[in-house]
Amino acid sequence: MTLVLSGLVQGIVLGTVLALLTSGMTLIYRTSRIVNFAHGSLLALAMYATYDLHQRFGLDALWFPLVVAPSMFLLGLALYWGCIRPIRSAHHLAAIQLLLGLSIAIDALLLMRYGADLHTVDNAFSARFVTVLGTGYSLANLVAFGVAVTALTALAFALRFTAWGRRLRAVAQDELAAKLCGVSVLNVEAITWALGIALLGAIAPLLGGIITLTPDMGLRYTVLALVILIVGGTDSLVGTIVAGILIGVVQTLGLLLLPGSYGSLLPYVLLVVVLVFRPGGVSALLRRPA
Amino acid sequence: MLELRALGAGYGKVPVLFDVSLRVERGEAVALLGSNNAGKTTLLRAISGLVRTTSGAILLDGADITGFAYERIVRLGVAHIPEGRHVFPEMTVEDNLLVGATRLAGGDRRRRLREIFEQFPLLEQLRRRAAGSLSGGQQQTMVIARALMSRPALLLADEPSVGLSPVAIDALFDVFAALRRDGTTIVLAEQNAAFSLDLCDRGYVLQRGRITLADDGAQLRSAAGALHEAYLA
Repeated sequence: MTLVLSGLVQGIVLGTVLALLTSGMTLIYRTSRIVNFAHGSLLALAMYATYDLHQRFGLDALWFPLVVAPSMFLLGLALYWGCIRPIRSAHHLAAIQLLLGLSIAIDALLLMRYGADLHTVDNAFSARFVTVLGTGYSLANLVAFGVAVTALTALAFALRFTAWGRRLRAVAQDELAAKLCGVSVLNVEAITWALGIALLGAIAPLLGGIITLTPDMGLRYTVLALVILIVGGTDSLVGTIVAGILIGVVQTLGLLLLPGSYGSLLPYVLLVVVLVFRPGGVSALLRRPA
Repeated sequence: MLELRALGAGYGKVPVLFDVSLRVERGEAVALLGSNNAGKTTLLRAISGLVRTTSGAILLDGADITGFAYERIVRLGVAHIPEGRHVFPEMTVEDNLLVGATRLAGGDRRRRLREIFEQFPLLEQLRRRAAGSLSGGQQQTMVIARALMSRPALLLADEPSVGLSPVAIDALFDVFAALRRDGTTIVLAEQNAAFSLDLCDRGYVLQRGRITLADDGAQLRSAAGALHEAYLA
């Protein structure tokens, strides 16, 4: 019983972090109708940047979001204006090819520069533990959880109640009408790409205890985020959050309770089940004005 | 207010408009008549900056705005009601209206919303409803109100009466008649000739991308033969 409970807590922590990682992909998809196939590799890039900064300057990783998130924001802007905008009206496969290529290039560069060894980035809280429901958890992971919850809440609030959020939803729901209301679709898309990628930089430095750095992690996290995007229903942040937590819990409990590593298969089983029985995903179940 | 000089426009390599010249004075309501495929929608979209022009010029208050980006044209006070309603279906009526006020300063948007709610009390009752759940007539009213949120000097309306019930069309007519009385300049593209001729001072007939008749309402009406021909073309 304690095992299941601790798995549940760990799954919720992991799932919330995954939801934040995917939320950027969801926003990008909603406005541009492009799946960012480089999302996981950009996460890897942000995590290796943290590792590098840590090695070079010995600063505690807790401070790095303040540097890495703005850097990733600028990188996202550059990616949009440099690569995505020029091909946005081309065939949709062009963007997929471009982003997959970028993903492979980033992964290869990381492998060349940092080698194939596993790395972790600890912070001041990694060695401190708190007990929740009879099990000890690293405080660092709970900090990552707290940051993810805060960021997701802020994002949901901004989408719902700010002029920026209204413009983003307008572009997502009817591009022509948004244009005729004077909303610059290109600006909305650019900010969405930048913000979606900045969110990776905001959380990446804190994931040392949750995600191990390997140069091949990029594509794996892209696929996991894609599963969450689809299970969540592609068009709602709330859907992504629910799906992220669901996938986190299913995977963690699966690894705990099933023999071997069959547990890691469960997210994909869930994907198939959702596609067959509820193709609209979580958001179709929660449909209401948003 | 608005002047088109020998305007040509089209999509990609397909030309749609040829040598279109017209004038709209401040405070006028001008009808744009013509069958499907005559180029009415393309003409309005060219004015709004959604369709690239290939030749000629568009002047707004005497200033050349040819080739301006759509968001810049909205900022100059041109509002465009697209054909087919185009509500933001999963946003509330209030959020739809606020997006319409994008060109206003942040603090001014709420003030404008209150004014619009005074003008359209029905929308205030529906303010928390998802726009997609409204009836056709309610959606059309909301889309007009959304266009008015920007306090436009020039209103372009593309087939606003299409798909509405006769009762809703009467209500729509009253809305446009009130706009006219308030001095809003209107360009109305309609297949419903009775609707637009009752509302407008004069009109142009567009046929296969060219202006084939320019006249005032009474003459347009009496020239029913020519109009009929235009519709059959």
